[in-house]
Amino acid sequence: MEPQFSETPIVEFRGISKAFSGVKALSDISFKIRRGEVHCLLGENGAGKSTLIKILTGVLRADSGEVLINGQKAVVTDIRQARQFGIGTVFQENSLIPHMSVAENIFLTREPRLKNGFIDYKTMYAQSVQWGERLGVNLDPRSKVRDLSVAEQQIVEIVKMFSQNPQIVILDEPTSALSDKEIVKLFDIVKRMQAQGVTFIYISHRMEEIREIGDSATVLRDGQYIASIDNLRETDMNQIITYIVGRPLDQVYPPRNVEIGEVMFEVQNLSVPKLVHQVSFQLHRGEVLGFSGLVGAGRTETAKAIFGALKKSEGQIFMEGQELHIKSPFDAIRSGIGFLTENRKEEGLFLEKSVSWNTVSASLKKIKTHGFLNFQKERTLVSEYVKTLKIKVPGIDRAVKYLSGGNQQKVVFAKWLSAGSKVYIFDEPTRGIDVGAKSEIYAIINQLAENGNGVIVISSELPEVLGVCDNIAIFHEGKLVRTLGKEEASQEKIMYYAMGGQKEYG
Amino acid sequence: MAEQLKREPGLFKRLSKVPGVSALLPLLVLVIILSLTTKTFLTPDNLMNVLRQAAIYAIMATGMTFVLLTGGVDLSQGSVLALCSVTCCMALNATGNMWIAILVAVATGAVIGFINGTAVAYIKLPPFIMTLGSLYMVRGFTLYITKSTQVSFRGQDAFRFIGQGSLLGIPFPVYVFILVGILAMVFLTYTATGRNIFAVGSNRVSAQLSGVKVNKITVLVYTLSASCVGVAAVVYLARLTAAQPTAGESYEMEAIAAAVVGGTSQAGGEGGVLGSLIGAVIIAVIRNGLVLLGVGSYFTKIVVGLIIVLAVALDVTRRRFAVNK
Repeated sequence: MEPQFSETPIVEFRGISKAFSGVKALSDISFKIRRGEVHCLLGENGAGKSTLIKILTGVLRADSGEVLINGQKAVVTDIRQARQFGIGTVFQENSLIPHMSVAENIFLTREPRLKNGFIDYKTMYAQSVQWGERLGVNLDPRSKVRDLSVAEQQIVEIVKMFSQNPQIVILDEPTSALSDKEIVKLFDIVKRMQAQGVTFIYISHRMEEIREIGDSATVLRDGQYIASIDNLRETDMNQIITYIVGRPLDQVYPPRNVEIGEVMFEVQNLSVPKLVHQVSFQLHRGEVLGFSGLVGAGRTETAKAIFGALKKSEGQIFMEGQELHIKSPFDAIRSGIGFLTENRKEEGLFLEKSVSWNTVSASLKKIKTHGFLNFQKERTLVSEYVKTLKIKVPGIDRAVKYLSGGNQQKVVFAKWLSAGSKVYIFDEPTRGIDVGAKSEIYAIINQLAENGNGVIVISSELPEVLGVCDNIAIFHEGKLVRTLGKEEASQEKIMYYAMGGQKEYG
Repeated sequence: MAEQLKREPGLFKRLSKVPGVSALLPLLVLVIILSLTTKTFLTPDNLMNVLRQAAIYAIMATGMTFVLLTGGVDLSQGSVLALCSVTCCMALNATGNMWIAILVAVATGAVIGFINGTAVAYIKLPPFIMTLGSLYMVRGFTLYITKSTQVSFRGQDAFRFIGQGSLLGIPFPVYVFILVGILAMVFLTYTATGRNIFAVGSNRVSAQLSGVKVNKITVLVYTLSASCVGVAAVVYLARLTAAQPTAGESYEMEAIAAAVVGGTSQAGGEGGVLGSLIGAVIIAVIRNGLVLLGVGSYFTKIVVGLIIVLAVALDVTRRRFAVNK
């Protein structure tokens, strides 16, 4: 059943402008969000989405223009006031307190009290369960938040917010850390809340899910309002992408015709206790091999075990016929393996340090002269990578924390290119990156393969796996269950094996 | 838009970006104020006296900087100073050879530092706890081997010169701290290992996954810290001609203060030796200045404490406002 839309828009932006030290971040943004919708906010990184959200939630003040909530002019000056207007936000990094229980988190600062003033735990636990049930989730109110998975924590966060009776909920990249199964669960929750009259503002870079969950959308580009789409599900995907990037994107996935050569890298019977079981595969020169599977299927763990970041209990690794004895990332890098981690901020970058510093951080050997670091060499080398990878920075001394996600990711790429790897393992290389930068990253991956390297791409996005890989290795519960060639693979087929399908598909 | 890399900024701007240089400004202000308010501050004798007093703290602060840069802390420094000066003095009396004595002092420090670092790196003890434990253990051990009495030496003019002599009108300890400082700066800035020390403090996980041998770096910085203390102990002993088993108490706090005032972040990854040296001088200038102004020693502590808080507050504020433009 289609949700009922009332006449007055729940949120209306009128002529919102905002500039940071003279640079326009938003100019004259006007659009409406109808009650009960899931309204997607689309645009590349830097398009102005988060600035707009910050204005709505009172973190920032608009230079001009006004926000109407329920048809009335609303001046929101901080998050707390936003809550009074019924606006709730689920942050990308969740705001729960890890060592407290689920119920304690849900009722933080609003704990039900006994007459003597002490906290009424019984009621608190019971109410937590009830709030969970209203969203179709089973909560154990007593378990500590730190013992929950990322997905479970997010659900707790949503329940917490839901218990405060929000009218408008902002979800900012809620699925970036979730597996497909968990996304289904999240969407179920969203739909239940929607059925109870909650309006959503949904920010995501994943085209597929936007069309699945969204009713309508607004596209921003370079701080400008581009278009609103009333019926998202029936709008052509290419049309939406054109709105977002401002030019028809012929192909997100650049074409590739790479000669696949001989076997250059081989893994035999790799195991990590409880996580990875007897994984074997071969990687050819010029090949892009995809690792597909649900989150927790052992893909990242396999990569980490190869890279020496996770201790393997058995297994052999061969590079160009030679067995490698890798005990640490240091050994792996020396043997020519590069590993781009899935969380660039936590595991890849030195955020406070400069573009240059980060780029050479795994290849200091290269910039040495007579045992000492040669800064001139460093500048030359880094400038070269900045140019070839089209990293957009005002200067190579800029700290990477100031770069957009896409440019940060390119810096990590530069780091591994500089390290002179022969086998590249990319774990979720395009997570949290806008469409334009994604396409550029695919081009880099193609180029690496063309140059005779071997590339492994771990990805939870099936279209991406199908778009960039020659072969797809499918993981299920720590085992590599099946390898499919590009021609025989399809999204359904990959999902079938990733979910544990035993028989031949179809 | 054409991709254009910004040209390197001018010398002044580049200099201002060198960690520690920003600490020069408060130093300059202090010097100007004290020059105007006292007659004696800006005399060569007094200035040399200030530097001589700063030397031991500056050398220790250099060692402390290595540890702070990795996000750790070395609380055992003060105790190690006592132990090193005692072993140094014993070696001097036993062999009569000052070079052996110096070696013994530095080696004593290195061994304690190695133990600290190994425990932090491999047993994963929090640095605060491990070095706090060392603080007590090393102090106890020093009292034990000296039976709580001071150890002294006679003669040894050449050795004494290290602490008491002057060269070209400048006290010899000042040469020592400048030499240690320069070596440390070159090491941190121009070697891969030096840069990896920053990497560990900036993001330990990223460092590990970039091929940095994080555990080895950790052992190294604690070893360097205590080895610097060994050098400081030599200067200390040469100056006083006697090693007190109770010497150096709370000197580690002075070293931390100097480093922090000099802009080294106690969270790791940011800062440098130059700032710590300047920080040590700033603290020595304040002490000296307050004495010259005839202010009591209680007040000195209050002012030093205030300076620490202000310096960091300034730094934190500056960082907060240096947002993305």
